[in-house]
Amino acid sequence: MSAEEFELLEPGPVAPALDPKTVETLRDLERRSGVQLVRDLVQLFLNIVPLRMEAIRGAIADGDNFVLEKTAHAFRSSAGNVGAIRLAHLCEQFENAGKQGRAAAGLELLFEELVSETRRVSAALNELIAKV
Amino acid sequence: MKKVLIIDDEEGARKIAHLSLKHLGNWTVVEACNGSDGVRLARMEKPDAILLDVNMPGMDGFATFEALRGDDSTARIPVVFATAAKSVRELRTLRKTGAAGLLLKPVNPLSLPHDLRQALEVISAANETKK
Repeated sequence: MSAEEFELLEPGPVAPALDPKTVETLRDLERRSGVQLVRDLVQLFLNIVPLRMEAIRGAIADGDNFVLEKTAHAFRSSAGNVGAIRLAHLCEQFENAGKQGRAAAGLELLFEELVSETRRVSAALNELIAKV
Repeated sequence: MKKVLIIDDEEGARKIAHLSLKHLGNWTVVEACNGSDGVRLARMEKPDAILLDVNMPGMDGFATFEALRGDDSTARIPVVFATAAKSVRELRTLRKTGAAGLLLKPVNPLSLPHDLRQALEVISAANETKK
């Protein structure tokens, strides 16, 4: 499978990095519980990003389907928690590539997109906690 | 107050579910970050329900579920799977395990207490019918 066969997402301002509804839900839970949540989730996410990105990059380089599938799945789950829908969607494509035994099949373009979206999400999360 | 055990390797997911079930659902919550600790805690704590992640490193949700079912002290605790799986085949496999329910991740923390209770009521009603 070539990179062209994956769904390369439209870049830019169309989809926000973070789903406003998810963010509001988390804030609502934080208000109702009286326990700090948003800042902790953001910090957990930002801490895990370098590890996940390095693992995905390594899995592509090594053609390791198992690691690619499992790491991308875990990253998708973390992205979903903070409402990073587009990032979660990209992770799902890596997860599927691993599941289908295609870790070595031209994922470089998609990885570049993952890097770019991860930066966008990280910036949005940093902005979010700066407001909290 | 009823007690729920959350078994999930992802700290963020545990935190969201914990706050939701404790503060919005009035549950007592205990947590485990992997399957083997989850089985051990289930034996010790005897929760009324278990919210079990599927995709975990090491002992995954399926293996954890089997271990819980294989132990007389935990076999009858209702288990609700939480999964980010999307394929129909995976979801069908999960439904066939005999678990009390299945929730899709990311869970909505505002509806989680209701969703969990509903799953437990359904399985409870089904068990009553069998008697």
